Amino acid sequence: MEAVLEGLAQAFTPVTLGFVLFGVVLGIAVGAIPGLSSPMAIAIAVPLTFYMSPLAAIAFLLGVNKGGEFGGSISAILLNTPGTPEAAATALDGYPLARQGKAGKALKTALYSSVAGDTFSDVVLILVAAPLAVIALKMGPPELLGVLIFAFTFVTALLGKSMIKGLIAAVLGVLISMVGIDPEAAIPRLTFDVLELEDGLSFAGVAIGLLAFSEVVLQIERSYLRESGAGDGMVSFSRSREDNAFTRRDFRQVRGTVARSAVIGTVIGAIPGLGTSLAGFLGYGAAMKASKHPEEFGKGRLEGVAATEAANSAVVGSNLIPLLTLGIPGNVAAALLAGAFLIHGITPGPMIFRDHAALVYGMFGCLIVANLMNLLVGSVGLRIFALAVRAPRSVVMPSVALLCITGSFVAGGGLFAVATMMVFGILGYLMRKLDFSIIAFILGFILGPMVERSLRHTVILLDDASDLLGHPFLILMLALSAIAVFWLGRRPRGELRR
Amino acid sequence: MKWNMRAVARMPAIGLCALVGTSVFTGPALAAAYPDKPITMLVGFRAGGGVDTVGRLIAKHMEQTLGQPVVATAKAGAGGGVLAAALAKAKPDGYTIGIAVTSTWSFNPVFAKKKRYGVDDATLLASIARAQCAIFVAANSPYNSLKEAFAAARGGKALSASSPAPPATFLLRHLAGQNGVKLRVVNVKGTPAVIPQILGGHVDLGWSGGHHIPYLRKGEVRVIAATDDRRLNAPSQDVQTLKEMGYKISFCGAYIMAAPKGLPGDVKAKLDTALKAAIGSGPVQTFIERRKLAGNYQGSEALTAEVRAEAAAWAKVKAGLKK
Repeated sequence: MEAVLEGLAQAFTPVTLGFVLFGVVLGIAVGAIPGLSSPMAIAIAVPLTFYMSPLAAIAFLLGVNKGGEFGGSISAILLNTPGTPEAAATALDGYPLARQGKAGKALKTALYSSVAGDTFSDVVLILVAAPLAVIALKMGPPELLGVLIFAFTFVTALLGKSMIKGLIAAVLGVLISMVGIDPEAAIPRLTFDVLELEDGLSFAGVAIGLLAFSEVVLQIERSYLRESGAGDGMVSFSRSREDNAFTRRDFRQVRGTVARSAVIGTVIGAIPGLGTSLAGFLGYGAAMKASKHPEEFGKGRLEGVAATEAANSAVVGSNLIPLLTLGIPGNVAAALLAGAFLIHGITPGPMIFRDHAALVYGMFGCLIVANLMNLLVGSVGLRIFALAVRAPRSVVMPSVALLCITGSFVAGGGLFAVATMMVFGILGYLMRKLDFSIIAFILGFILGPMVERSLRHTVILLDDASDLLGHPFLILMLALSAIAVFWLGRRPRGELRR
Repeated sequence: MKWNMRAVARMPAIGLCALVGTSVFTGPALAAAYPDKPITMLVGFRAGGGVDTVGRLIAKHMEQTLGQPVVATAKAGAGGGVLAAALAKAKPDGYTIGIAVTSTWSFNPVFAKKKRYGVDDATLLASIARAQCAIFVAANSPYNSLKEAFAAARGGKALSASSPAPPATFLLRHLAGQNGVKLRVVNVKGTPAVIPQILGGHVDLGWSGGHHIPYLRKGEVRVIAATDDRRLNAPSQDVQTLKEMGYKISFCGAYIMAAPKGLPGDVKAKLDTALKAAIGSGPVQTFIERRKLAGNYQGSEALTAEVRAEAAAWAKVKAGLKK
């Protein structure tokens, strides 16, 4: 209890609140700019947190994450260009609404649904995480192995346009993660006698390169080819009050949808390996199935916007559950947050509730505060953020490139990390061109070493295969993974494709 | 554009005049002027960790005493190996120094696949602080000593250990080998990861350089051996060291400052003085206390002798493994 109060006291200091606010503003702006996504913003923002206190740093990054989830919907609605991949389904109904002059209404629906979904998810996290962490301590290497294999099954099966490409990207990520010192034998592998590679490739370099720098390369190519950019098909706001307001009738219309999507998003977020985009589409699909007018979806139904935004934002809170209890990041945003924890000397995992209880409860406080700020900033600055959609690339991209370089230098430990970042930027560009999932690659890169360690620990600690019978949880997880593969393999891919 | 050749010819002369001018005004002899430009302090570990933090604190203090900026620059990787290799190649003029740990020069070169540097390729300047290295068990563990654990293993019980660093793994294996028993050592990433494995009851023994102390205070773990060659600080001052138990091996680490080999005597003297003052300063001592380390200032000579002895001991362990 003492830790709860201490944490909350720290959360409500002006400095921490200021960083949350700054994070939310930055997140919305970055999310709104097409091509810049919220994981990308976090990747670049992690090094910025270097000299902050741990709580301020985490609060700031959570603000960026939350702001980004909503920000992505702004360009989806106004431009038909999702600012972030998870807002793709938002555009389906948001843009038609904007074309009807109801941009204001659509944006407000997106904001309120986003905040509602997010808050629900945060409450679940706060209630569930601490008790789960106690159980998590009982999970040894074999049990962790089970959870990780289960997570991996989803990553490879669900991400990307084809299962094969998703698999290739994930395996490539695992392969790259194997560079460095073999964790058990302490012998360098895949290092080609380069001393710098003995520590493995820095996560900061790889993540910033793949997520952010690749976009810069892509934009350079676009401007070289003089392709027309976003901002051309921008719709204007209608003058009618009704079109720009979120009325009581609208509330009644979408509340059920928001509740359903919040649950879907929270569940998806809690399972490691499933993505935010998937949550958005599942929420949208479920709303369509439940609606009495499914034929009107895609033509400007308010529920379409609400369903997607509530679901994708509900991932934000619950994806911290596997991170805080098991130390397993459920998606890229969580992985980046894990990196930020480590920079501040904090290891995410079951011990965090005992060693850094005040920080965790402070963070919980910040989650809720960030939602309120998201609501506040979003309502007040809606029209200003709409301008971010039109930010000229000639300003945005060089700034991003500069942040990529300084960020990888600081977080990765020197110029070698900058070189790493650039190499992976080009790799990321090629992957985007060839339609390989960057997300699958990064999750492979993060989960690979975890799987390796827990697998090798299991092998070292157990005598023979019959010892596995003493670990029913591992067997359960393996069975679930097998069922998931079967189920996903049979499922029509179209539904999950976009 | 046509160059005005006379003007170009005059340029170096102007530069020279400027140089002479400044030296006339700033001081008599060039040699005594060290340092007359910024010093680079290469940091052998990633930013945010203990080495980086203490390195920056020292750099700040040295700036005041030396009157020149001391710029901490990341050169992380391979347990300080990237830094040590860079230092071995750097000019010994006192403008490049580096911070890492003892095992960077004692353990790493011995077990490196390809040797890039050794103790003799560096001038070890000073040791800053020493870790509190111990083997510990969970409070509810049946083992009250290493002897009991190994006796149980001889009796057919499976014995396991969790290690966060290669030297600790070698140490644990060596101990088991001396007792003729099998020890299953799992390697985790970083000392914090040892704790849940011990508290969760997944392994029997754990090694840490001080991360166990908060859990010791809460009564959740029990220290059964000090792996340094000297006793630990309170509250573990009564725990025997491995040497006292009759083993001929010890392992612990300290943060140390180094420079390239062949450092001129006067430059080294200046650095020694500045470092000693910086290590004794308030912020560094507070850091040492907070991180539960042992204050352990050692000058160049004592430190070099110690690291050499450690390297020789590791070479013996390595030779023993090959047999």
